[in-house]
Amino acid sequence: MLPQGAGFLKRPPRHPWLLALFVGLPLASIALGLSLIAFGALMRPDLGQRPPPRLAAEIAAAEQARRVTFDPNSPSLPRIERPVDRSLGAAAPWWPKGESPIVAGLVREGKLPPVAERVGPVPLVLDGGTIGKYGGTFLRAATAPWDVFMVEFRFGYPSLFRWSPLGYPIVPHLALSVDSAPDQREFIVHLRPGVRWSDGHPFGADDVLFWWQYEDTNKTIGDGVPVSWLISGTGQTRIEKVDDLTVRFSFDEPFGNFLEVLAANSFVMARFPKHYLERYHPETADPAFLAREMKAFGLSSHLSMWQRVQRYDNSECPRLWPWVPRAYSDNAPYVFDRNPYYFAVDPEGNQLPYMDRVQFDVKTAQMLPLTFANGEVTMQGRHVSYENYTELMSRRDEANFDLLHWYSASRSSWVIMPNLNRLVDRARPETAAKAGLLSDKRFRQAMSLAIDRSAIIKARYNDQVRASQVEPGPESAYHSSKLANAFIEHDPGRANALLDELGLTGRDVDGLRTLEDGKALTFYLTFSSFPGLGPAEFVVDDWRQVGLRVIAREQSRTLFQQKRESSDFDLVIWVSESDYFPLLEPRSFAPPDIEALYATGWGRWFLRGGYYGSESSRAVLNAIAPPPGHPINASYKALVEARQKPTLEERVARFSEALDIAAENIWTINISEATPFLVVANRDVRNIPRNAIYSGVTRTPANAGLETYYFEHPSHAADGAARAALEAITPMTRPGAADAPAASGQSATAASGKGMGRLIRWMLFGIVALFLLLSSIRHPFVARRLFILVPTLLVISVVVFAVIELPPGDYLSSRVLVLSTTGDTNALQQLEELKQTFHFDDPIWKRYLRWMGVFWFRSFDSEDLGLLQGFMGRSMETLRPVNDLVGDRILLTVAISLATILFTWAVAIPIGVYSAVRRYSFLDHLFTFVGFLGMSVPPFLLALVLMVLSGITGLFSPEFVADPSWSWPKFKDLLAHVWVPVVVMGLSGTASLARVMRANLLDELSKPYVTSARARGMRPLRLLFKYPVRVALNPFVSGIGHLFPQLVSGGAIVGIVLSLPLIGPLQIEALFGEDTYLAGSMLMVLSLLSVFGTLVADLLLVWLDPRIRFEKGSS
Amino acid sequence: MVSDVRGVDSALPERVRAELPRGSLSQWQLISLRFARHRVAVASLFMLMALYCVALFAEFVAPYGPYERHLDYPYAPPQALHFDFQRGLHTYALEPHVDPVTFRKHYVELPNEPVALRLLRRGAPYRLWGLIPLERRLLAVEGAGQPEAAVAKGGIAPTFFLLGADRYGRDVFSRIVYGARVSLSVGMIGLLFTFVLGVGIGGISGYAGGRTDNFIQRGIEVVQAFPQLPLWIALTAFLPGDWSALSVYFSITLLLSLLNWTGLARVVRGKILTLREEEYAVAARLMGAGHTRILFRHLLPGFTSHIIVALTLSVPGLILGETALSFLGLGLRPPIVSWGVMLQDCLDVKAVRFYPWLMAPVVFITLLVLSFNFFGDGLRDAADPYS
Repeated sequence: MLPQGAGFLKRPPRHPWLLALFVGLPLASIALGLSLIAFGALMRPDLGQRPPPRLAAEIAAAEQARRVTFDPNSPSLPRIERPVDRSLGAAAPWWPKGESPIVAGLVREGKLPPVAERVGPVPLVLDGGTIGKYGGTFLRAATAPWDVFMVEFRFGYPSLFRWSPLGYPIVPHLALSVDSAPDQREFIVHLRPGVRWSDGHPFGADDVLFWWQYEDTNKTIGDGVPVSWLISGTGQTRIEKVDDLTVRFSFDEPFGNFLEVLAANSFVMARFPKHYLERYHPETADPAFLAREMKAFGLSSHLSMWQRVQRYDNSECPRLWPWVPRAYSDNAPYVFDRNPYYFAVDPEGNQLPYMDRVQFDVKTAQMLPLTFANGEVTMQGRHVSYENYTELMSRRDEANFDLLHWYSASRSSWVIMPNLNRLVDRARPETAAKAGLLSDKRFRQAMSLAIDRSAIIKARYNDQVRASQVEPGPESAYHSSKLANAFIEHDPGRANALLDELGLTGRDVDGLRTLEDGKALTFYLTFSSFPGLGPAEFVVDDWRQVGLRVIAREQSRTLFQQKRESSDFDLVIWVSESDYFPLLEPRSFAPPDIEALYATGWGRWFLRGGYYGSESSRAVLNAIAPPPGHPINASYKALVEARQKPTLEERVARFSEALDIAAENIWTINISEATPFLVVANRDVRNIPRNAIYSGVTRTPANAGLETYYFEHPSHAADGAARAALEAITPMTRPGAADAPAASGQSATAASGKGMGRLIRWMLFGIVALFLLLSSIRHPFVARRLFILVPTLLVISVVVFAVIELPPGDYLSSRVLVLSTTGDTNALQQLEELKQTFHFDDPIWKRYLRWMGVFWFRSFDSEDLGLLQGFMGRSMETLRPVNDLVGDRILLTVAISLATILFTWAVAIPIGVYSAVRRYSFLDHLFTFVGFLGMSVPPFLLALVLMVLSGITGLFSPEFVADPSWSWPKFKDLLAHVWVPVVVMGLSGTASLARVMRANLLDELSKPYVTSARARGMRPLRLLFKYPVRVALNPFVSGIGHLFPQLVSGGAIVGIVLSLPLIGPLQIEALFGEDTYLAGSMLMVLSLLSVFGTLVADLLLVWLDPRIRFEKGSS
Repeated sequence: MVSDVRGVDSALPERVRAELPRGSLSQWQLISLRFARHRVAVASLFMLMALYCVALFAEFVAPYGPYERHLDYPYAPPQALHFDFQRGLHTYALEPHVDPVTFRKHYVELPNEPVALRLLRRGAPYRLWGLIPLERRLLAVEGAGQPEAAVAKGGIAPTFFLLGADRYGRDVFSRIVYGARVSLSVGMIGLLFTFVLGVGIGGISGYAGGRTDNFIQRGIEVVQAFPQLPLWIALTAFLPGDWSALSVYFSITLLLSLLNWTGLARVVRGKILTLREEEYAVAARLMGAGHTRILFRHLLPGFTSHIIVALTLSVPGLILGETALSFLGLGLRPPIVSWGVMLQDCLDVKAVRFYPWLMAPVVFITLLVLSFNFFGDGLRDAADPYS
């Protein structure tokens, strides 16, 4: 029964395939072309008409928003803090009297003292513009759990003095005033009276002194040297307590910009509540208590215990932040609740902040743009990229947010740093030549002149910024137009002349410059995921035009870190930081530390006091003293002396020399000035400034008056949770105490995190029990099946361990490298700590046994817990047990996979049956085609399209994410979200199962028993479902075995695109962070899941199908 | 291999036999006859050929270079192809507009300004495979490569973007065509690795039998127990962070085939287990043939068709794997152009919303995988012509 069209095959021509080729190939090519044209036609927008013109008002508004410039000398710079007349006392309008209804309720119940008592008699008065309403949750998005640490200094910011939205004026915060001696050598800081820690304990000079004595200059904890920003010149720094609320700072040399330094950095001083932390400091703690706590946390050194308790997420540690962590959670979302003792009020005496909580959700970095474009954050600038400008501007109305343009104090988000301290490796002679060239200013000038900046600005920055080198910015008092315009013109002729002058006149076969000895010259432009490739291809092409061969090359973060330690790179792409405040952050003009990537050697030397002739700077590995007479020496001198000048004018005048030197020497090669810093702000929120300076120095957004933001229509959905959090603090999880009965008030997430470890243990014990049970009742097949499992799991564990241990350059090794090059006491202690935790000095087999938990059987010590006990090790990056990080993820992964299997069956069975019964019908062909299509479309893309079209990400809406309890609305919310991943993941499995069903049923239908049943008059439908379908269903059950690993695997990538809290995304996040321990553990979990999935399928099959029981059992 | 199967005719189903010319048909002729009946599979085969030809003659097919930027046309949409007898093949020039509020790029078609397109027109000279100097391209804009034409249009040279352009005005179609080289060869080179691993391990397992067989089979089960994608993702951590593009490409290919050979190994083992007990194999053994000779001279030809089927069906996994890894930024990276790398642009959600033509590589991926699936399906049916 050959098809009609193929009739010519009856008489095969001499070369049938050749003929077919001549017909078929052109036909296929035409079909390909047509399908492309069809795709193009489908995808192209309507090109017939011009877009409707924008209203003039709209354009004006957008242009107004883009104008971020401001006059720094204006007397009316915005100021949120209000100076008030303290003599009025309780009669003053600002006297504390209003408070959040939640807190008011607790006060009525006698659980909290009245507001005036909590806030104190001299509150900080903040005026954001309008008086607000209480309530609502401040939503934020973070890229990873560790990214939330910014809450401490960008939200909490318990600083003595504080910046205003546009930087200056610097206003009082925890301190009221500072008296300085005329010689700028002594400063007396008066602290605000009546301020209390978030547990109600008073704050005072003792707390600042505790920091000074027991942290900053402590020799048990660190190296005893004060932080670099509190040192002036070669002299000593002293901090003394005058009385409970007065602290004296004194220096041997003048400290001109002391107030600015306090505003930028003093939050560090006010983060050490003496009454709490003295219980944990090795010098003051009760040794028995400390030992007990260390054991409970599974930590082995005093240092790590000390660091653990002061971390931003310790819910037990009192703070001076507007929102404090109270409900401890190992997993996102991370919630910070209002601090009932916060010392700020609005002008009408209502206690601040207005919003009840701050909630950080963790999203994959790639998916953050969608989060912003959907307006899923209340107010956020961090991670919002100018790359998404168009998307964000177009989505404002739909997603109800404003896109604020703020002034960026970091004047470049993409700058090329030539390595002036390039390592010269004798084994690679070209490094000497490259080092020579890179440190010659003519070479850097030529590189800068060769770049056509206008093309880049047009292609990437919408023609909105001016070409410029990195400089403090036109709005900064330190502005230098000479530096801004230094060598920015596109002048290949001059660049060529400069390069010729350097002796690079020879050319190779590609027409590119060679060294004088004729050897090829290749530079590598290194970049990593941050800040990314950017316009590097433009720059590389431009350099090629002047005969320089530069290759852009990506390096992983940690690998680059290693190269940075040894200065073994040519050029690197990086960002500049807070150049607006060049004395506080001088890295673009005089390398103060290793963050100045163009001269890490000098930076290390300066950081270690090399400039002052300190002996220790010579001992430091890779510290390089600038050659005498080098212009950088004058830059350093200008920096040091400018910092000592008492007035801004004098500081500017002194520092301008460093900027002039930079203009001549081109330390860094920049494209353009900064684009506006974009801030996504919910339109319902009031009091957010239209313009503010965004900078690490000003701790933005803390300088922009976060406490005064409020919702015009606050949601009260989270009120209950907020109240519960205020009533009782959830303590940090003590991982070692996993099996202890759950403490009262422990959140559901924490409990299930522990349940996870137990789950794995149960799974293991369950298998052993089952094995014994079934083999004893003589089920040889099952017994054998289980027996095979043991070596399978063993091999899997070996492979996973290899994945953990073998890859070069993980987080741990680069951390160890950094610590051992630093070489101070603190670093050595940390190193010792890491060694104890990860045992990286042991031979590899020993580490494997330890990881497996074999040693536990000998010692029964919680230190030796391993995989066999359900303990999956610790994350390299956070040192937290992997079990805690996994949380609900395993259960959710299993649940979603099962839901997908059900979906697959529900769809595949009817389609398979229909296709078999109505074979070769139109629908059958359609199903077949769609099925194959489903198997061929990459699932991640389908997920992406569905997500964008439906706007659905994650498993819950933000209001339900933080809610541990289950309710009907929450369940409905889950259903509304879960269909996207289920459909996407199920599609390919559905297609193949339907085909299997069809084939099986066809086989069955052609069997004689069907014919005979039909002949005996059995109704077709009844017959169909009674016999053939039931038989044909068999592969569905056995199919689980194949399907389950597939789903687990497919869920990984779909989970990333959709930001699902599953195992796969965690693995990839860990991998991007090069936390191979975490990544490996996740791989282990996924492998376990698929192995057990297969096992369950096999056991089900044994139960369902007697043939297997008997046949395989007997053989 | 071309064994005379005159005597096997009776093994063919009655209806097939009736319609076939009697006489000598080799096994391969039988397979191809059988295969030819599967029309979709045949069409798929030609589609595959067309795709591979595109990759092979990329320089000729692509109108532009993969890195050629047209900064005046960022995110230009796909341009329609028109034909009339007066002007021949042509498209219309695009006039760029920028939304002053969002900076979104809009384009308007100018029906009064047709841009003539010419097949096989001379353009800028290039070298096919870096060797053969040529000047003609499949389709070129009239006057391309001539600066005078650009000046006439007020500095903006007319372009033809069949599938639109990306953020730097690079032609998506040209990039796909060049990217096909990478993406398609990942399949082919991966196939080579898969073949070596699968036939080698499967052959040993089947031929040696006994304990070795058992051991290898358990090993295969372990490999299959791993969830593929997460293991691939984890294995990418082994790639040093500063490898050259070429080494990354080969190692990714190797990684992908590392998990992909088990299907083939099972097929080979099963076939060898049955075939080695056949009389001719026993005879060869008794006549003193070595293991290698028996395996490769006598047994292997007996199921070459099955190997081809298994290989064909393993290609889609390789290609989708490369795409997924590159999409996540863990596989190939720019400046390499591959379909997966191009799809990285789509992670920027704006692509899906504003510039959906950036997803064009998906059309090719789907076509390719679909063709491989159909082709493999047809081949599987045809592989055993005596069944």
